[in-house]
Amino acid sequence: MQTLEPPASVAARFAAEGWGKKGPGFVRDIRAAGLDGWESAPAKMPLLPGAPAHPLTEADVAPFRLAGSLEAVFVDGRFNPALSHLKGAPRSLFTPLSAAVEKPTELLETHLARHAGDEGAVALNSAFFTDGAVLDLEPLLEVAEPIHLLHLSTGVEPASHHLRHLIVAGSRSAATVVESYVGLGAAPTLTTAVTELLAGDGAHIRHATLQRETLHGEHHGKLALRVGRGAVVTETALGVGASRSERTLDARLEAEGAEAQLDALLLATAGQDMSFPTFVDHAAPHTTSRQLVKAVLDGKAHGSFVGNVLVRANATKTSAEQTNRNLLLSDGARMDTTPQLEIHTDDVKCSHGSTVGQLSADALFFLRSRGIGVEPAKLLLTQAFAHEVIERASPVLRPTLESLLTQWFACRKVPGVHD
Amino acid sequence: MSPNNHASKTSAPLLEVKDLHVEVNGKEILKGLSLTVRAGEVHAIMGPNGSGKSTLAHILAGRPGYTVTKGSVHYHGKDLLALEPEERARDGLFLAFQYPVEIAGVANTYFLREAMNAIRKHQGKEEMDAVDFLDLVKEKAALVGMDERFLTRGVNEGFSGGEKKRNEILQMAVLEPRLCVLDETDSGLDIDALRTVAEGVNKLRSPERAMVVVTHYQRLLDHIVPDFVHVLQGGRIVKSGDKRLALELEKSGYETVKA
Ligand SMILES: Nc1ncnc2c1ncn2[C@@H]1O[C@H](COP(=O)(O)OP(=O)(O)OP(=O)(O)O)[C@@H](O)[C@H]1O
Ligand SMILES: [Mg+2]
Repeated sequence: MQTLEPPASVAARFAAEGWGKKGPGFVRDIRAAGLDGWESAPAKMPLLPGAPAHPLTEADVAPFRLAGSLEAVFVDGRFNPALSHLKGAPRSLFTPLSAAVEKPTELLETHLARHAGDEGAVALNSAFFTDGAVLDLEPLLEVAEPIHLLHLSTGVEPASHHLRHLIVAGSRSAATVVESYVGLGAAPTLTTAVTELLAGDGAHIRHATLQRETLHGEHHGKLALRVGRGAVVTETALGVGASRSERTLDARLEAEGAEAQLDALLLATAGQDMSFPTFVDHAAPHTTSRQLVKAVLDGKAHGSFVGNVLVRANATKTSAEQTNRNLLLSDGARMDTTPQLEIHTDDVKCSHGSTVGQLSADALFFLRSRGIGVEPAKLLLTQAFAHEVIERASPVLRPTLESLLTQWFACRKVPGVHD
Repeated sequence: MSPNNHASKTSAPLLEVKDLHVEVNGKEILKGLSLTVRAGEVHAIMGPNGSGKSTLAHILAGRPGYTVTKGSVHYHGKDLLALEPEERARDGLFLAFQYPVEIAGVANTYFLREAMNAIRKHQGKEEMDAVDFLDLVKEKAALVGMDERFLTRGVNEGFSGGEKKRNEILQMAVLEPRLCVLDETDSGLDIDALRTVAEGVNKLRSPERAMVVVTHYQRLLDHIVPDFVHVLQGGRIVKSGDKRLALELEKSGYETVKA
């Protein structure tokens, strides 16, 4: 869509806008390292100008809220306290990153930008991030309500937004955290979103990411998980928007008994390009990972799943499972799937499998023979395909996931919506 | 239950198949099949393996992949072959499959309510809500002797052969079609199940409804007593008679059947 901006002009903007001088010393270092990383990145993406946040009303935001949640709302890359619902949140649970860097804590200095690396979109994000959430879960804290980090791109003018979240879950804490990336207007946007999530010993975190940008938007993101002793982190990822998107899951199981589970549903149509690389690093014995990635592609969509699993020599008694299932609804849709397993010990249970298929003609005929029309029948079968992922999601998310799937299905061939 | 022999021979046929020729992958399977079914009648179709019974059933239901090269099918006067499968179903045609498909992840009742409401919508009736529908489906499940736990499972997911057949009849009982085509519904059923399912089918017999029952065995016809028995052989009906023909076939097989 847009033309690529040469690295030189990114550097020029970085200098002109004074990014190298924003925040305390360690933040400036992060930004400078980000710029370096970006300049040496092999893949480039269009960098749209930063722009001021445009106003939104409650009515604009309401459809994207998660009922009953503690909600931090971000608009065009900036925290919006007026639209947020954080009353009743445990004290010091949430701090906007923009405020946190003004009064940096040890936690921030220790962890911000220390885990997600500095490649491609992450580097760009490091250089230019404007805001995000710092979630500090004290040991033993159990947050009953889901925490919703809701970002909306207004799309009023071409703009890029860079969000950075840091979630530190103390030992045996528990919470559900949902990140939503919503696009609204018709202007081209670029969103980068990087989350570092550190789960301390015995922590239990359910995380979810809903990428629902407009088709005028691009989205590049990364979720870096560091899972401690006996901790369990689950991720539910839904990708439905953006002309081009790439969200990386990077999980490291750092100590004995650590467990990571991923369930992903990718829905793409028209000319959308959706890529979902995963890296799971078993760095300790008795660690467990399970990945289920399902894609439904229509039109001329292109999807890609690259699943990397590394089992280090010391990671004995490890179990790693990876499954990728893909459903093509058109002849023009295409899916690339590449499992990459690197295993350095014999004492493991490892499995992987991938399939690419179409809707069963027999099932479709059966449903039609009972009076159900072609489109409703295809929807039923598509819902059945996605069922496993939705069923495993946190109950608070299931209705949203179900309605996103139904909406996507209904709109997937509507000209203008997905062209 | 006694067969309904009172269907008026003068009434317009519900189903009229005339000189039907059908090809699959360039091979002719049906070679000039004719069959007339009136409301209120039960027709049994028997015939050796591979003679084209399921092909006929599929053609009636509108399964893709078949080419009609000659002949016609009319369903209460309409050109049936011009209709989409779902249009036929909404117009009261029902096929109980010889080999029902499994659809994991689509709950049995959920799918059946979708089907029911698609048909009701077509009839200009109000859609049925989940609660009313559940009552209805439970009542019908009892009628065909199906345990309620099968209702929430995926369509035929992990069902035994006999359970799948019962599920077909449950769908039929719920959707209340006008023309029921049963393709070897008896195969895979144990003796008790056969009786329950047959009773369920008999309860659906009515002067407005017709049934075409494909079977290999007389024992089904002990329960569902047909008005007519046809022998389908080599893609054609080669002999027709009343229920005694089935008994004859049971004794002497198809070899002796003369066109
Ligand atoms: N898709 C197909 N391609 C090629 N041949 C086919 C196809 N479908 C059916 N046939 C052939 O058509 C013939 C009739 O099949 P059909 O299923 O109608 O038989 P049937 O009378 O129902 O047999 P059965 O009693 O075993 O159920 C068989 O010889 C079968 O192999
Ligand atoms: Mg057959």
